[in-house]
Amino acid sequence: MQIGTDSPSWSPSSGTRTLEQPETRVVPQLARPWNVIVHDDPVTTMLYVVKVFMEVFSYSQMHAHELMMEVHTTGRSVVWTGDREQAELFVHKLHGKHLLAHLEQTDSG
Amino acid sequence: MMYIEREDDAVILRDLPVWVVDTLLCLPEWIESDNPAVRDRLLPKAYLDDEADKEWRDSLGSSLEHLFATRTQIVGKDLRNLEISSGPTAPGDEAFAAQTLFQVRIPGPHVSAWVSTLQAGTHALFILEGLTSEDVSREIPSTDDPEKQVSMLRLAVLQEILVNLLGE
Repeated sequence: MQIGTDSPSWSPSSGTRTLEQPETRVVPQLARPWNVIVHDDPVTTMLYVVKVFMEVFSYSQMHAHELMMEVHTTGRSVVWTGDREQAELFVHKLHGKHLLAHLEQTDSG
Repeated sequence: MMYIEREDDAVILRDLPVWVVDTLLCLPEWIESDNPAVRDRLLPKAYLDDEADKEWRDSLGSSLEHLFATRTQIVGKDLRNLEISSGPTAPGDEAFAAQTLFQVRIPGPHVSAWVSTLQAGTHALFILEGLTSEDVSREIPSTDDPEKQVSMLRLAVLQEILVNLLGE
């Protein structure tokens, strides 16, 4: 039986065939980011929420107000997205200010 | 009429009626209540996943409790310096309780502790008094229950002081 020298390669001395591994590239998989989500509650005033967003996230008053309105009208808002460690720090600060907040990983990276 | 006066290094709550003083003095008791719903509200879940949330609570829960306790102590310390701002000054006066107005001085560095404690107090009061979203969403109380009306009045005054301390 004639065996070609092209792939798969033939090694006459050993009589074995070597399968060349297809080239693979390792693409770094970025961790999926985390969302910080704030929920509406019946007691907290709108002004307080705006002030907390400005203080915790250093948001402008306008952006903080937009997010507060989203919380107020829809019941919740994603107020920040990023790495887990920072998201945990923000949630800790929000809990320290008595806002209802939790973090959850996003569906895609 | 209760009002807030700002000085360079302090905020003074003036002309507080007795019932408002009483409400402020109740804050530590409400915030430190062992009612499970109050504890859950003041230490809410950080993760929806129970296991991750337990890890979170184990590592950070006590630091939040400590933070809340420290703030409450600061407020309590300021309230111990309560003064009479107007009205009869002698407890022997029959009208003492009804007419005397009080004032409390909040040093500038204590204001954020007051804001957070008032905020915590509103949540605790809301839960402990069995108030509902509907109760607090109306300008005029929707209940004929006098106890509930008092609770709503207390909640409203805490919110009013809080908003004023925020500087608006």
